[in-house]
Amino acid sequence: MMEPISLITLNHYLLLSAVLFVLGLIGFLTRRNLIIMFLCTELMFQAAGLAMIAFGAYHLNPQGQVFLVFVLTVAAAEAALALALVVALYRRKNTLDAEEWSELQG
Amino acid sequence: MPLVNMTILYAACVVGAVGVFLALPRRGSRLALLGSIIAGGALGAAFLALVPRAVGAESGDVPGFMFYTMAFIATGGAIRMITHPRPVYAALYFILVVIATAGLFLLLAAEFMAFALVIVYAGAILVTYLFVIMLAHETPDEEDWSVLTEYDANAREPLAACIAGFVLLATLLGVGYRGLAPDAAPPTSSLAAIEREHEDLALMPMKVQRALADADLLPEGGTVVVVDPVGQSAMIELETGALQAVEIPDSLRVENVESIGLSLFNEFPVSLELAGVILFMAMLGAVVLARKPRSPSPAGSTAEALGEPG
Repeated sequence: MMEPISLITLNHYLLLSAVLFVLGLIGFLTRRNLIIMFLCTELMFQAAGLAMIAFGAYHLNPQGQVFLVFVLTVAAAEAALALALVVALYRRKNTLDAEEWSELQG
Repeated sequence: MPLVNMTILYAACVVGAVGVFLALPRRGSRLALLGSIIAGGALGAAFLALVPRAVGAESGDVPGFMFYTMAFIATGGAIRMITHPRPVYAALYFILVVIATAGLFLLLAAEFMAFALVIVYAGAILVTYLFVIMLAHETPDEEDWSVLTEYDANAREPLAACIAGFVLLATLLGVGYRGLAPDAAPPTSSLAAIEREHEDLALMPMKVQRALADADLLPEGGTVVVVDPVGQSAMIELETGALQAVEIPDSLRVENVESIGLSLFNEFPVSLELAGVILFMAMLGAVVLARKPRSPSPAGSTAEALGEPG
């Protein structure tokens, strides 16, 4: 009975990637602190990257990792700009609350 | 007979939703730890639902306990990250998630990406997040619910978020596991992979030369001219100008970093340049965005700034 359980298939990695993505999504929808919201988007990046690497490994193709190099680049650029935005927003209202900016809607 | 037990997966989604809902921060809630344990148990049940039914399946190269350890550390860190009321701890738990994901990359033989993830993500991006949290913090020192800021202590609309998130998860899993291959086991080799490795070796004559020299197969003074991509042999040009074919040893493999590098520079050179442009844009944008708003300066102060008298 122990033998099949140690066989890790692609499906396990995809399940884990989906779970991490959904956890990041729930965190993004739920929290109001701007920085934690951005951290949750980074978590979604992680989950997608895990799926890319898993597919690349299971098809013995390095292009999954090549794609993740570019995703990492874009994630770094996005994190820099997002944090600069957060700093600028914090200077305006002196709070990290996302609800304070809800008057921007409409 | 279904290959994946979907009812267990859907039930695990429901239990996970309940667990995450309980774990989300609410004022006066003491059920956070219980929620995390319930969610972890749901993940374990989901993994059990994926046990392959193939008879006579041999265990793959990956030891199961390493994958499960990393998976539970990653999920536990993620749950704690989205439910912790204080942003510094959320960033630290995310660093834990990044390290666990790097461990999973190592299990998938992607060591370059594992190290790049730890260096770039945990080492640069998350440290920048911590800097900004320190710059913009409002939370006081005591771990006291009444003192935490209101938007940190309360999750907004946790029920709707959990329902939406886990319905999405159930849909993803339901669609993704439809039409499964009977054994999505880790492959040991495939024809396309072998061809790719031969092509990569054909692009690296110096690597072949060094390997042949190490294995004492290289004739004196010979340099590798052409590596035959299919025949696994290399043409060596001797000092006399004559050509000789030497068999490449089977133990010569293309490393992970080399294959990524070859793929990047041969197949995606434009994307590489564009990535540099994106980083440059981000740097300029961050500098401009984070600048303090300058007050309008009359001409006199400009002269002062230039150092001229008067």
